[in-house]
Amino acid sequence: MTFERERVREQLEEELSELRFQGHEAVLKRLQPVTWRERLRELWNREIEVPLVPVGLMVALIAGAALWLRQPPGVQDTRADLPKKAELIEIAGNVYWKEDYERMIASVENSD
Amino acid sequence: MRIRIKVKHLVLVIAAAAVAVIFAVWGLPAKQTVVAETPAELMKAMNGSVSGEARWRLIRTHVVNTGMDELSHGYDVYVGPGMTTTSGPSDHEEIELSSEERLPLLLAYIQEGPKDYDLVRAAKQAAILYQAAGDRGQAINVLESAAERLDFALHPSQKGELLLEAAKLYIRDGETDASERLVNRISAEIDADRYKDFLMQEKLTWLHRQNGGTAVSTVTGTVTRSDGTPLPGVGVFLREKSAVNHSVTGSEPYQAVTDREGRFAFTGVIPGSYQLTLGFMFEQIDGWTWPVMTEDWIDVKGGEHIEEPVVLYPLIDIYSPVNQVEITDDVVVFEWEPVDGAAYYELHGTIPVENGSIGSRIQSQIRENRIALPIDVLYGFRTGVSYTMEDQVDPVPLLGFANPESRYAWNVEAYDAEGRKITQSNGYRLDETTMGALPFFYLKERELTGADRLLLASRWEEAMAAYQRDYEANPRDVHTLTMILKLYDALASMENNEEYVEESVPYLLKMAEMYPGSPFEFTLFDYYFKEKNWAELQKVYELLQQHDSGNAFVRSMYATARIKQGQWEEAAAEFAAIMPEDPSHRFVGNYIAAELYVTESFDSALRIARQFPDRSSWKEHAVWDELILAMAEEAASDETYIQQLKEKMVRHFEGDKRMDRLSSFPAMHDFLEALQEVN
Repeated sequence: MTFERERVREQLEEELSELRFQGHEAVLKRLQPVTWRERLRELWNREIEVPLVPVGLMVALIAGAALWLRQPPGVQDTRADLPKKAELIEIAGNVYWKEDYERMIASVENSD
Repeated sequence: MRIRIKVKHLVLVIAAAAVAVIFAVWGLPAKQTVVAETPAELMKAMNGSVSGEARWRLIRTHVVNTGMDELSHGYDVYVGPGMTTTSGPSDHEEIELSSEERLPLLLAYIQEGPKDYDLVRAAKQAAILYQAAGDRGQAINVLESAAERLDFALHPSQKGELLLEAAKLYIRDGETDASERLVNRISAEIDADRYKDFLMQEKLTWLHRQNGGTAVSTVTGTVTRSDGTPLPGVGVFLREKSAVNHSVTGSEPYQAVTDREGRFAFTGVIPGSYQLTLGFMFEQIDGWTWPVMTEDWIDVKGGEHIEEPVVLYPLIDIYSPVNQVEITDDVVVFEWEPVDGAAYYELHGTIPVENGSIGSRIQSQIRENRIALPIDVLYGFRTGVSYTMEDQVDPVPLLGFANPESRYAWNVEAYDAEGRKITQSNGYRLDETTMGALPFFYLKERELTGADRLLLASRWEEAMAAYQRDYEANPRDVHTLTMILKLYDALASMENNEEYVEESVPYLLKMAEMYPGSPFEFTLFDYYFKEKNWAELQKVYELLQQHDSGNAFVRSMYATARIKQGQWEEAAAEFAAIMPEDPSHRFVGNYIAAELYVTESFDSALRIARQFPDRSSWKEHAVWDELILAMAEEAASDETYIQQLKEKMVRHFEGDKRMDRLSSFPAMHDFLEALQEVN
């Protein structure tokens, strides 16, 4: 039996000695062809449960962050450098910038 | 809450959201946004480093929206004889642009920008800038070329507005033909019924009237500082009598802007009485004042050329008392910067009230640039009765300068020998260099008495009793006496009861005796006038004459009292002397009545009416010349007319309020009615 098998193997080796196997990949593909796609399709069609509130919050946060990161155009940045003396004050017939007036009153009162 | 969803749908949703966010936040605006971190970069962008809508958007935001379309509401401050209006401050401007920077940007918008309303605004602004540069021809060109870009079919009112602006400028140059041509073109194209642009119709009517008018005058002038520096870009408004009591509006016909030499000009001015109002930006008026007076009128007769110089003077610096100093002496020294050419100064004090302050004159005819006032003069100062928002008498101003807790303010005005104001200490102080010292002070020489506290608690009757007790204890205390008189004023006002005035007479007499020249002398004068106590009125009048000789009002009241005593001739002579000294001519009606009574001549009455037009600003002006002309016409049909008129005038001055209804002559009726308004 052992001899017989040995013989067959020798004969096979002899017959196949000129042959080289190069089809590993094709074989492997042929071995697991359905699983790949099926897995993908399965994943694609899998139903999941999404908790609406936390996800909604996340989305809002991301959108907010995106808007915030997106600075207002540079043109408006120059505003910060300008003095903001928006308000006037009229006292006993004199008109002052409110900010200057309050600063002056404070300095007058502190010097007492 | 949970939802079941297939993964593929979830991925799809997320992908769609991401694309949406990218477009919304990054995508679309990125095409328009110009990142200009500095004014220089912004200028570069506006001057063409970006193009298309992005550029127009920048020019619109930074140039058109911050510029001046209309002289009537682009200035920060409008100063007129009767009122000052502060309309600023405007919104923050990202960059400060000079006229030289503005103009090319506006022109770019006018030539290539979108055909929107901002195109009209840009053209109007450019026209104002050209006028300020003294180039009226270019101003007209820019309006017309902007109008050419628009089509009447698509932009009727915009195109009409631009052509109308051009027509107005032609008129101001005296080019009536060119103006007429434009006006006709607009009238032909614009269907008034369809567009209902009433303002424009009004303007068209006015332009037609102007074009057809004859015997028009020109009014020109320059706006300069007192050192001779011209002020370019100042708005100048020549305002008709009917317009001076409200703020400047766009539909007023005579508007101009000063050129580089500060010049302004109005041609085609139709005859009438006018006043000037000026429009300033803060930087033009800051630290300066235009000393215009309520009675400054420009009388245009027709066919003449009137030169009206406008000079701004620096505000007076004040030296003492300032910066909330607490005064404990019995003398207060007021001192200020001397003014060249000042013949005298007037000192004014201001008392704080619930929502603001009340100011009034403390002292006139001050020859030096300082005065040491005994504190009793301030304590004896008469303040009117003022009411709080809740319609209660406000006790704080009643206490006047006698409240150690109140912060008072003062200001000073300088006058020349002719009584013309030169300058003042109050005004716009918007810069460190112009702010100066603050005109505030406290008077802490006295402490509040029990009576004062009752007054401040609005416990009027108890306060009066307490002051009267104080008076018994110390009849020479000026504060106590003043407070009693002011409380009588307040009670009379609160209860509308004249009997309080009668009750106060002994105190008034005491005050007049103790403090000659006290402001309460006038109360006494008024009381005797109403009581027709001519003998006592004469005495008080003589007292008043000693201290306040120039008071035209008191003299006019006295002359009126003469009419009431039947001394028409003396009254007419008095009025003849007063009129030139009282620019408001508020009593001219009584003068006319006296003149009519004495001379029985409508002609001489008419001469007076025309020489001294009624300019009292607090009521509708009586047009005396028209009233007289109408009466003269009525008199022609009735020989007894003048006698009837004299009879009715006698009854009017006797205080008969009903007689006006009794006149069957409409013109006489109107005249008598107008007389009742004289006060």
